[in-house]
Amino acid sequence: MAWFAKRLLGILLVLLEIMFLIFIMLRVIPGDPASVLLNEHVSPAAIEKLTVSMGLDKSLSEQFIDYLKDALRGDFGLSYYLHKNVGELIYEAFPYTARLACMAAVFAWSFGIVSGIVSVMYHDRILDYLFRGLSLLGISVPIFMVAMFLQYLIYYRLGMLPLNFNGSFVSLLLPAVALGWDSAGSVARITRSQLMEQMGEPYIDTAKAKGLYFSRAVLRHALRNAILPVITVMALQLSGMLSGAVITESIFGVPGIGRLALTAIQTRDMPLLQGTVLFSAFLIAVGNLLADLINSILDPRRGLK
Amino acid sequence: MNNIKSLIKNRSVFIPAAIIIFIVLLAIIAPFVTGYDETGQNLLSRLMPPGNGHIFGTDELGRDVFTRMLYGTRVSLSIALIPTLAALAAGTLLGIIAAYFGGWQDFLIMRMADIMLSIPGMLLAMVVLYTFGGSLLSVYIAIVLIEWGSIARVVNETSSVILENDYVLAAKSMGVRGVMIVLRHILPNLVPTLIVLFTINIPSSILSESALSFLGIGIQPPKVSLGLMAGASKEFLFQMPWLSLAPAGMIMLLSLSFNFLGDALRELLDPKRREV
Amino acid sequence: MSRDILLEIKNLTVSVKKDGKDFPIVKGVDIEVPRGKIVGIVGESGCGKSMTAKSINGILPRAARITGGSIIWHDKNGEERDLSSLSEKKLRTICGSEISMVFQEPMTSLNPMMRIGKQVEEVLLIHGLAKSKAEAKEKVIKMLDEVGIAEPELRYNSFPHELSGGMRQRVIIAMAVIAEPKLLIADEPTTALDVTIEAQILKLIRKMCEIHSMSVIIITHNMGVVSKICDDAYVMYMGRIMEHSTTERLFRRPVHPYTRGLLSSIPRIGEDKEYLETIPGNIPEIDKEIRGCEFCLRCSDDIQSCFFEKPEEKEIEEGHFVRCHSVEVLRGGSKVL
Repeated sequence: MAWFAKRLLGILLVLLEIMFLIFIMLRVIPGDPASVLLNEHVSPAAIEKLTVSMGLDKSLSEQFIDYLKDALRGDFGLSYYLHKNVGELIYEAFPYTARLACMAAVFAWSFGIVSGIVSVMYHDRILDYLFRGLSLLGISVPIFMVAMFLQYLIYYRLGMLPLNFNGSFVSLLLPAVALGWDSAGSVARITRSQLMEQMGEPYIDTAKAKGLYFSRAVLRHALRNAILPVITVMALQLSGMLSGAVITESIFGVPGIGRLALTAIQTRDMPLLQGTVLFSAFLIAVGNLLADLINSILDPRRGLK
Repeated sequence: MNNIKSLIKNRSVFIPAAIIIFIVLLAIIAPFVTGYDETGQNLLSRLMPPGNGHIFGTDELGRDVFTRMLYGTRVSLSIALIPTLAALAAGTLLGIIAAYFGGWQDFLIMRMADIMLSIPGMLLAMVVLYTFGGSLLSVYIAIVLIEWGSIARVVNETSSVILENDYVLAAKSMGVRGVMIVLRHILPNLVPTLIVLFTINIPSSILSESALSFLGIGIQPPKVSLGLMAGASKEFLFQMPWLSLAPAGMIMLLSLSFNFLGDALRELLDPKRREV
Repeated sequence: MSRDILLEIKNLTVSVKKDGKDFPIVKGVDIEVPRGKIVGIVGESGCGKSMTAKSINGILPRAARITGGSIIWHDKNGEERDLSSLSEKKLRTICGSEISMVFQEPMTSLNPMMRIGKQVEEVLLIHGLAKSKAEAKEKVIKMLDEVGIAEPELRYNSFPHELSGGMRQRVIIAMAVIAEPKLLIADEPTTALDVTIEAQILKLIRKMCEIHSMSVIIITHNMGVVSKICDDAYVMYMGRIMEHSTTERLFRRPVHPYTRGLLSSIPRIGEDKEYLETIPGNIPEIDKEIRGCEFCLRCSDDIQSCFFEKPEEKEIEEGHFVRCHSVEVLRGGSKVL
């Protein structure tokens, strides 16, 4: 319990630091944000009014303290462009991103782990080369290329799945594959390399000397030891995908967190960008915590540290 | 010497290296390859299909796509080199400083790295681009910021281990100065790690730039970039798929070659993965 | 031969691939393992003794493979099988049930993520030696008790990291013995352990060998281990058996200069020597071609032919074989042992 409390405190601290860092980084901008935001041909009075309403007339430290106070109350500011509370916007967008991320994760992990295992079982044979090539392709192809290729082939040529997201399950299939593509590749690679490393461990010789076939030695003995680092990577991937798949969401028109972030930068919407960054950092921290938790449950050598 | 010979003989090193060298040469001599200008518009020959002297046709402003791809490749290659090396240098320096001094330097630097690593790379880049606007330089900065943290972390761990070695302690006890310890003992032992990190980061730098430019928030026209080209032509995807898929394919070819090369080098450099 | 042989290694050659070329690391080795006896293979690290052992149950590392010879397994009913040409599947049914193995590193030879009881039990389950899980568990606990693990019911649920090195080696021995195999291969079973534990483990192996009437092959670099428990001893150098005989004869009258070197590098209490004797030089790299006797470069009594000709194996007294050019010279009486 003490461990858990300490970790939660750690997360809060990191979030606070990130808040500060992003706050500073976003305000290094040369020029006056209010005038950038409004058109050049607006009267100075209007700029003045906006500056005051945005709290930009105060000093930076005062601004940060205000921001912090509001944030503690759950208020992350008003989006300049969408004129809505940032927290609310994220709350509305998150379910879409979550559905997409979960589907992508299921695709990526099942493909990744299975192909990693197959690669090791058929080491240096055709299947190994095939899956290794595929996983290398997975991490080498730009996501937008996968997305566009899928749209061209599956939607346009074969007419099988919807082009854009329309709220239905099937319309999330293409985006999920596009988003999960590189994760599948990296899971496959790390599964394979971890398994290969474990296969060189003496306990595998013990298992074989006991009379286990190679494949059972892989599944019963090596996999158990290899899976821990894979889980850490998977947790990071999931939190990464949950914090917004900017490209996938923008290509397939999924109204999720990634789209929100893109809108924020396109419309120079500082509170919105701040909010999405903070939210994604929160998810990453939770993902890390989760990975540690699972690892210490699964690994008998590790207590909760 | 023997190592270099066996490197060249090794097919898994040679093939990707040859492809990369070929692409680099093509990018260097780009102006002489096609005879077109990367920005030269020709409104009479807009959106032409491949053929007729245009290998990948022309775009909506009548510019030769292949020529523009070669110039875009220059950008990708500069991305592969400049910010990646800068991140490597920054991460190595900070990682070593943290490991060598320990104490508050260690705390401050590694804390900074942790914070950077807990923001998804894409969003960190977006914060940078929001602040500095979309340009080649801000993409460089964004990539350095994304990558230095994990490099610093690895370098810090590795050099902490090296510093614990008896021969380093012996050198210290004999009064060898810090800079000498770093130069003599730490850096040479870090070289394989650094090469591995470099090869991992090259393709991810290339992919980061292409993604940002694809979204229209990275490199801005009239500058050319492969990602930008793919993004700008996405409305013609169904009628003229090559307009976006050809530049995207070039990015893939580059990062695939670098990944292949990196894998092969890693296999050769990592003593643990070498088999009897 | 009147002796009852269990395993016969005939002219075994094992090669390692390096830079695309095959280099022999075990060169035409002949070893006989009689039923119920303990056979020691002794030599410096890298001499091929481990590879010889690992080729018996087919767990050679990836780069190594058997390139010649045979490993004949004699069944009770007189049937002969060549283990080196069995399929992986057939070999695995023999491994664990008829041939088992104890490894050098008790720290890493157990799966760190699995309870030790389950790991021992696995042997029974794979080979169908228990009718139910309950019966298997009972057998495991009995076996753990037999190898000297206190509170076996409790230890059944322990993970390897919760045990000391000596305890883990006992678990591995339990695992190796539980299926009542005919042959136990122990690859440097005590190298990683303290000297006090070493004696206990050797005693345990001897005891297990007697109780379960097993044959044992012990791989070691330690002449002390050989003298303590082996019936027969094979001295190996660079992939070749240089001398072999019963342990008693070998220690009474070591003939090969290498054997003598190994014996004189054992420190003895009460001996007044300034230095501990060593064998000069190192083992040459495997990819170095040696025309003459493998040992000629480090040998103290080399004669001309050592550099150009490989010595044949000669029987110098009954059951005592030596591979050395200087044997004739010795027999001729020009040198006194």
